[in-house]
Amino acid sequence: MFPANTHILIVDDSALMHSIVKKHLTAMGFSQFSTALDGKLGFAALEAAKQSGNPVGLILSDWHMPEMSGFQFLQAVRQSEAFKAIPFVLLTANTEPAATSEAIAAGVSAFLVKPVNPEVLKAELTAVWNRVATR
Amino acid sequence: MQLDANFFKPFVDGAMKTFEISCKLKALPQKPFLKGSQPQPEFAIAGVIGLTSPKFNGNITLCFPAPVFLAAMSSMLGEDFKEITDDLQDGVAELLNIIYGQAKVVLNQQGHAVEKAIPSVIRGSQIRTTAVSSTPVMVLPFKTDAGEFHIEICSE
Repeated sequence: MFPANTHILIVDDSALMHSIVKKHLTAMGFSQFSTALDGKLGFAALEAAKQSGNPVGLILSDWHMPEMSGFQFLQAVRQSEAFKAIPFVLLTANTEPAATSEAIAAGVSAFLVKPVNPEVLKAELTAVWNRVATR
Repeated sequence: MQLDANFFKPFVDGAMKTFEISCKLKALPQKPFLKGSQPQPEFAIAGVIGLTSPKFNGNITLCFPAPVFLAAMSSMLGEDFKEITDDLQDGVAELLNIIYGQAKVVLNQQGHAVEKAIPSVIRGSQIRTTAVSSTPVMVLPFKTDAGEFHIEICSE
């Protein structure tokens, strides 16, 4: 599993979802969070965290957001030399195969369907960490 | 398009699953009825989402009396909420978005080609939802330990 001190960036256009995801992650032992309301602000948060010396180690992002969607944010992260290795989990209510395939092709680490089940979230994060740790 | 059980079921299933997982609340579907044929509770908050496909144009409304919404949000966020605040009102859009997303997948498997949409929130005391067209509005009631909430399906 990701170390408890992993800095996690939560990106969602609903501040309420930030609280819900944080609640689940806090119950898993995590305590370092940043939040952003869309992909553009999320990318700025990645840069700010890197500059502050506490880089983000995991991104959880919604798919449908204004300005820059979660999918566009994923693409921007994977094209960035500085951030391309950060595990990126997409949270979405959209489970259509075409969307899932697009996200996989763009390099998503895991794909979680809303409503977020804390047990499924934990299992997916463990699986992502296992893949990262054996790279 | 005539609304039938195959069209409603994905919304019923989506609501039950969403409430169970997100809110830890059992949402038991009750017998659907046509709007106006039975009294409805006083709603304090509602989320509305347009549903557009080659076969159907209309909207889906998720309506809550205040105590039911507050119970759902309290359970979702692990805090005891006493009133519907600006921060909390996002919750109805989020719940509707999740229910809609789940229903959309099933409806598209049935060939509806439903497009993605963004929900709007209506908040106030004693909200009354009224259909703009003369088409009957189907009400899908759900019973929870905190009271009833309704999903209304209106076609243009």
